[in-house]
Amino acid sequence: MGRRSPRAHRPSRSQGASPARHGGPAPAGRRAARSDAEVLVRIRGLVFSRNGRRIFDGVDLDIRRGEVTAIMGPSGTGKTTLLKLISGQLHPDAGTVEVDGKDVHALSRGELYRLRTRMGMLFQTGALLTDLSVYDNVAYPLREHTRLPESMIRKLVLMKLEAVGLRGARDLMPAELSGGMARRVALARAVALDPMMIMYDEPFTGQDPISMGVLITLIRQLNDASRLTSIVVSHDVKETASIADYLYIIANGRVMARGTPAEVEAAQSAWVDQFMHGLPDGPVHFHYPADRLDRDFLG
Amino acid sequence: MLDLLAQLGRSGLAAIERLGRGHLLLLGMIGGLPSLVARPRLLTAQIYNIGVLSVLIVTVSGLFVGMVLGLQGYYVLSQFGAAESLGVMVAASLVRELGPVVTALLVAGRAGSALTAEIGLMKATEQLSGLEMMAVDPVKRILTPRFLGGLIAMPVLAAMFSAVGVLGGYFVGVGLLGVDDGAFWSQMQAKIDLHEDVINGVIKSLVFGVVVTWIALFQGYDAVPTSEGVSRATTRAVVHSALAVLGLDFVLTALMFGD
Ligand SMILES: Nc1ncnc2c1ncn2[C@@H]1O[C@H](COP(=O)(O)OP(=O)(O)OP(=O)(O)O)[C@@H](O)[C@H]1O
Ligand SMILES: [Mg+2]
Repeated sequence: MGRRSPRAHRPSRSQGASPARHGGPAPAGRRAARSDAEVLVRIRGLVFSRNGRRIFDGVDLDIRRGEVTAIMGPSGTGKTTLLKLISGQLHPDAGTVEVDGKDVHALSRGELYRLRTRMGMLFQTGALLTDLSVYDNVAYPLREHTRLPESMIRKLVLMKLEAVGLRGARDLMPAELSGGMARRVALARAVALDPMMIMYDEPFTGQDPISMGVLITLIRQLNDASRLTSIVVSHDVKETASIADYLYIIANGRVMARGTPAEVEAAQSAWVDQFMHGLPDGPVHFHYPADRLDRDFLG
Repeated sequence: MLDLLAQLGRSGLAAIERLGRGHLLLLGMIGGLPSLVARPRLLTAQIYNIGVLSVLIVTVSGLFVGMVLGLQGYYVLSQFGAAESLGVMVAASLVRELGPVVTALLVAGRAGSALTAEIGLMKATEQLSGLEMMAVDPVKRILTPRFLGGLIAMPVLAAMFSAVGVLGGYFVGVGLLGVDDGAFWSQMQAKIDLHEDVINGVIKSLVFGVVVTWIALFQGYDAVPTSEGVSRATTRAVVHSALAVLGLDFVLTALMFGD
């Protein structure tokens, strides 16, 4: 598996997690001086519409190597869409998405596929192949992209399943799994090829408090132990903020706030404040625009 | 009035676009054929799914169709005192027409609809996107084996249909209605031509195999990824396949037996 070793030429960073996690907010100077080599995903001027509706309207965003970057925002703002744009499943109307220095949307199909073997994505629904068992699902990318002997694949698969606590479920079919279990199997599959980057789409929904805690530490551990880069999309503000090095909050087609969790927490924006603390009243309305209540009920 | 024109133009463009996507998919599947050499198991599984599981419905239908042909043929032929030609009549109608056509319609109903629903649901549940993200081409891994499987299964099923149909005609004609046993077979042997009848019939069912599986797979692949979208796509797959088979049958027949 020597051909995919992005970690080998990653700039060496001081051991341990970033200062943002342990040392409070990072000094502003360090952030501003982020060098090119440190940025794995660079998004500039992203514009994307669907059915005539602008979903992104000029988004700039950097995902740094070796960090856990969280992308948060209200439901339906396009977080999943953003991940699909980064992985080249959708094409932007304008703007560029660069991953590891390559413009994703200018790559040929073969190059895009080669890049994708180094990206893992955890779908919101799990997206397991329903006609294969849990074991075969996790083995699938290994069988497709490596020539490892079956005995080696077995070891790898069981190792990945053990990491998500589902080694005992290897013979179940996806239909026999709960939603949360399916998500964990999908996670095992996403890391099967030891990618350089993993995108998690809502990893926490449907998890009980225990597996939620395990998942949170797992994401952080995977990230630090194998020097991955992680993008976590989630509405679970507290949990996500607890593991993220950097946060982006997107809404209404733009980035509303960015910074380390502490910076965002301290931001002087009513909007961000409402989102981070889940307050019902504020600049964001819980209700979809509607006619006046009395007219609907008494009219 | 202008609205109507615009509407017409829009749906016309959409139809042409769909046609284009369909042909791209066909090209993709043909391009994927070589990759099947390394994975014969994917293919055998689909030949089983599409072919073997359709054997029962195809043979039972073939038996009934053959029996009806025996009855009707005897009724008509005996009016002209040509009841011995019953064998020729039954075999020719089966091998040339009914075998390929009815088999294609049956396969479209049984296997084609299942293919559409399967692919459509795989799309709706993001399994196809999941494969894409694993850098696996779903057209090569999922669609191509099904396509080739259908292509291989169709002529074999049509041959079974015809064979069982001839037996059905034999039971009714010879067993029940008293047509001469020897004449039934010997006339059939003398008059049915390998090239004219059998090969042309096989060509027909190969063409139908391509069309039926292609339509079914495309409808699934192009389906709106919701339960309603998949159910509509399934209906469309069966309707379009049936129309395409009947229309193409006319064209092919005109080309093959026209002169
Ligand atoms: N296939 C599609 N066709 C048309 N519009 C779509 C499609 N998928 C999503 N959208 C629209 O794009 C917008 C963004 O969707 P997206 O799934 O990215 O939201 P999200 O931020 O992931 O939401 P959630 O947190 O609920 O998962 C939504 O308003 C949705 O209506
Ligand atoms: Mg989403």
